[in-house]
Amino acid sequence: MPGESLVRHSARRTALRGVAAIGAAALVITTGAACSNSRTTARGGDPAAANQVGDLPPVLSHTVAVTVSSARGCQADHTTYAAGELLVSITNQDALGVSAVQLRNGAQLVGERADVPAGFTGSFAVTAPPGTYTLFCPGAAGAHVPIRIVGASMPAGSTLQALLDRAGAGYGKYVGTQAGNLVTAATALHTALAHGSTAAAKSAYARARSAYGRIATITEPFDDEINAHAGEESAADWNGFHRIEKGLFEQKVTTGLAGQATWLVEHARKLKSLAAKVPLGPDDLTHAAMDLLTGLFRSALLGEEEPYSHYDLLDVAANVAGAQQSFVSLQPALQRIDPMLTARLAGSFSSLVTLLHKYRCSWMPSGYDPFDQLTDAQVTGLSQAVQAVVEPLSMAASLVVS
Amino acid sequence: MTGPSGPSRRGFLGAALGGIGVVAAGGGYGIARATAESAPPQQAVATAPKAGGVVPFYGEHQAGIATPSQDRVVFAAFDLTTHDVEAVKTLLGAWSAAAAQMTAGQLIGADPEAQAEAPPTDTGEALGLPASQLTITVGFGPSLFDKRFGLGARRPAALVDIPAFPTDALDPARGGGDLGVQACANDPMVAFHAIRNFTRIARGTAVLRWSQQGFGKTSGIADPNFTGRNLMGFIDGTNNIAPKADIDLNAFVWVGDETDQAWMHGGSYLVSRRIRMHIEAWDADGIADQEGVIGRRKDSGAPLTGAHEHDTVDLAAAGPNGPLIPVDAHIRLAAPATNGGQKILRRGYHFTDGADPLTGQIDAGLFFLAYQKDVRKQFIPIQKRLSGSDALNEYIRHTSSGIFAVPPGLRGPGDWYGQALFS
Repeated sequence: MPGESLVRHSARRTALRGVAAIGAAALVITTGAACSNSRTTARGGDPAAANQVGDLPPVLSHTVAVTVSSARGCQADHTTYAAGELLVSITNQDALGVSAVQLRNGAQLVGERADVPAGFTGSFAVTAPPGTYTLFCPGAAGAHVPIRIVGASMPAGSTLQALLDRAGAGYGKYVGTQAGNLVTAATALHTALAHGSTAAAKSAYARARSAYGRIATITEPFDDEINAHAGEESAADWNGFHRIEKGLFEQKVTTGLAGQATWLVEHARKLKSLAAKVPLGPDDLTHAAMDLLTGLFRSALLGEEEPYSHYDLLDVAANVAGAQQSFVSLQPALQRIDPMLTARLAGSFSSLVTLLHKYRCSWMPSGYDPFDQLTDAQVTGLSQAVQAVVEPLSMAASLVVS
Repeated sequence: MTGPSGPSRRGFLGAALGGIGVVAAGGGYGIARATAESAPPQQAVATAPKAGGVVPFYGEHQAGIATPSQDRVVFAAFDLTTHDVEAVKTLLGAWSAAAAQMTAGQLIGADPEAQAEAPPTDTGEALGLPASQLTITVGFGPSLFDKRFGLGARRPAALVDIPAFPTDALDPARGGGDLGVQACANDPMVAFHAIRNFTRIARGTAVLRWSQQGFGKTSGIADPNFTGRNLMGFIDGTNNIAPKADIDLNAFVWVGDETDQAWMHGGSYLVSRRIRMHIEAWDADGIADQEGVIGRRKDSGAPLTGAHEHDTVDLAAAGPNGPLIPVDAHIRLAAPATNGGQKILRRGYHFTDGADPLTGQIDAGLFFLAYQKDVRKQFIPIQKRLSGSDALNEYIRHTSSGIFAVPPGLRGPGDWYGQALFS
């Protein structure tokens, strides 16, 4: 994974800068001690100079050095730090149960570094407005360490909350666009079927599936009939995508399918109007992405999502695209909270998309190789690449709970 | 580390049952403390049989080698998917911390209730189960030393690629691997839990390449009072390396000053072979022939030159039709005397993977695990001899092969598997 490798290297450079920063902080502290000495000396001398030194605000560090150990738990080097860009530098000496350190402001997580097992060091940077914070080392004795951050406040709009709000709004727009694409493709499918054009119908079916797959987990609560498979509804009540898929790809007829397409268009329109009204919080985004990806293991990655057309890889690609959009919407906020995890997620998504790209196939209406032509090893590789996204995504989900 | 510092698995169960649990030692966890407060001391340690006990995780050598064999194994080999050596180190660090906790009978990571929105760090299926003498032994395959991580110069000369043998029928998908993990316990749930959580921790860094479960220890460190039988019905492992035989262990198992790689000092080399037995054909063979193939009596385990299991194997003793122990008998070819005095520490398990889809026969045999200080002097020449002329070859096929350099033990919390290799 060259992409991931690059990102990891840059993260390592950040960690190195962190070490340099600790050195700088130590210098600052020494200077501070020297200042208080010189103040004592100055007191007997020039009163104006003493006054000047006394008025200086205390020198506060921009680096929070956190040490985690089994004997002393979670400890910070100071109780008060300077507002603004803050580096949290972590040394896990030997605390077996600890692998992450978080910075919280009340219930809100403002920064995290995971993957710091016993014997390792790591760091994360945050932009922290003044306030009362808690360092949280899950698994450590004395896991909660209160710290204060003082200094100038930050302009509104750059807060983490603003970034999280923007994520929800951005993703909402995406859902609306895809729902619109779904209606357009379903309408084209109807037209093709009404004219008995098999090739046009297959192409429109693929476009409709591509749009639907991107937003399936957002729209599913409103309408699960649209994606029903044979046997999930009684034969008389079976409508939707896969009823049409069976007719078009297995029975190879278009007769009578136009009526089915009418049903599909109606349901697509209904979904579009409902989807526009759903309020989307950041946790809805991560849950939608998780469901899109984990759902693949139960269906499309088994070749069971498109049993007649074998367009399953199209569904895989659509679900992945929808999940990735959710991540991209959250990325500015996630980047602030946990840049390492964000880099890992970005790398995993990139590897997955690159892998999927190898199965592009121009002559297939779906744009991808038919699923029944994949070898077992190829399916395993795809499953593992999806799993490599799911794991960091499940961690990201816990970082953005509103 | 002297006592458990994580939430005790049994402590959690106690809490869940309203305080009928054990006292969770140490720890700074709400739930563990609550249990300790609500459980009267006299109810502590309701069952602490040896089989449920803790095998110390830290020490000069990794546990799971000279440790008396537990009842079960779940073995897994992993392939790294990352190309970043830092990610590999972090994985080994996370595995080390998780292994220290699991082998102590603790949950991995933090108190699962501490973060309501986060997935628990431990998958939980071993909750309430004792440590069950769990050992987790980690080794490095030859492929770890290829170009990906710049470790080529650190590859020990003894970590050779195992050559092909005439009777091999190897499935590459079932052998090899960048990392090998042997989890042994007296409870299969506990052993599986270890491998499952290792796999989970590895997600995004490494993937499971193959896995093998085994039951009913076949030999392990020899117990003078009881030697188990293999699936052919024969007592197996009589002359394996004996317990506490430090002379044997230092001579044949632990890597010493002779190594070209200091990071392997105190380690060992593991060879894994999945040996399929054609037990249907074996079951149809007459007992005299079976005993001739092995070189021992089936009932007592006595060599064909003696009356009792532990009688000396007299390879020179002659009978009316040639040697009493036939020239192609398994014990003759595997005997140290035939192999320049070399011994290996066998620590295998039986396996069955259900029905062979092709023949309908039982897919079963021996999951052979052997530790030694130098495969070039031990496993390879011994197996070369066996695969050339062992009468047993008619009934067995080697279907997978793996070799792993098992680094020494971890010094304490904060140390991790292979730290010396990577630093």
